[in-house]
Amino acid sequence: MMKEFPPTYKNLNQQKFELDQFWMQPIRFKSHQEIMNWRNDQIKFLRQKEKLTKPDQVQYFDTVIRKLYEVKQPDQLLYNFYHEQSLIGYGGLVHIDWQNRNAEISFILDTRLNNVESYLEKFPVFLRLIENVASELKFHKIFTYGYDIATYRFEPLEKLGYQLEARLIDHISIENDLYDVRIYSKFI
Amino acid sequence: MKITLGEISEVHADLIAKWKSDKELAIQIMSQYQKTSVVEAREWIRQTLDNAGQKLFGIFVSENNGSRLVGVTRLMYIDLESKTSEFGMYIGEKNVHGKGVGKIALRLTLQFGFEKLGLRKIHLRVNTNNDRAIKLYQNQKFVTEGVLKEHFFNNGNYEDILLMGLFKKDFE
Repeated sequence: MMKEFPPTYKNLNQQKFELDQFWMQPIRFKSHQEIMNWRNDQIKFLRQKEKLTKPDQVQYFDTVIRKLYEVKQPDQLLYNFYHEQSLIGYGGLVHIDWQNRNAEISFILDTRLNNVESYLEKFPVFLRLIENVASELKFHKIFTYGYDIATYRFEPLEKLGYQLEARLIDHISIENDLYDVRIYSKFI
Repeated sequence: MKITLGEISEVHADLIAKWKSDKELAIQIMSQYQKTSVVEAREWIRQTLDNAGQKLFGIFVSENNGSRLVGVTRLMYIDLESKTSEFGMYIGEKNVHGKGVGKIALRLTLQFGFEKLGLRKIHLRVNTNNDRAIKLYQNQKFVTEGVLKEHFFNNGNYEDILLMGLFKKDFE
């Protein structure tokens, strides 16, 4: 039985972020199986080439993710995302560039909730929460890197003031079709 | 003067350490500046050569008195499914600046990427202040795909990064 992660990231005073009935806390080891399932279900939206296996996921959590709690400037800060008492997704700031004070936003919703209506309700909440994390870290800018495979996924970004900074043409191949990548960003 | 791409190995660690410790060069290529020892440079070379997602080349200049390493070019984040890769290059030896070394090294790397690796698209990022590099890339038909605003912190200010891409069909 693997040991649960510590409850706090070293470089943040605030660990739990809340908005209405939604909240998030640093990622938990015990969520590894659900997260693996969501990632495998939604692989086409992710920069993940192959389906994860349970041993891979346990090893990844126990080595890579556990280290995030041990250093002052980790390269990612990941959170479990809840509605009331239910875990409904996860995400965070990844590819953190501490020198330039920017980071990419990552977000995945529980596959069972991953319909258009639910996504348009929950992603904006997650964005507001993650902006609070970035603000506490005094980041300059956060951004998203998204495949142009489902346009509704960009709507919350535009509504919350994220600017389209780049459109990388035919940048990614998914199931033999080419898609653009859109980069949206917001200053904190 | 003949310009070729060749293998880099740990015997070049002293030059790599010197270039990585050059603050002006680090700013130019938007790299995180840090003073680098020969031991660290050797480790960097070893790790880069072992990384299946990268191809690292030395840029060699041959003159009457032999061949010498003057810079580095590489293809990073090689994605064989999407057939894309990110290009990066620097000329560490300043006495060859302005002699067309960058242009030839760029073309040789693009040729390798498109022809040997079968890539479809090669992309890059460049500081918007680096007019000379941008002109070089535009001359090779790279097109601008976006600008990352205030993305790079340099000397008290945030600077913009230009994203450019080149498709194989446009490579002449």
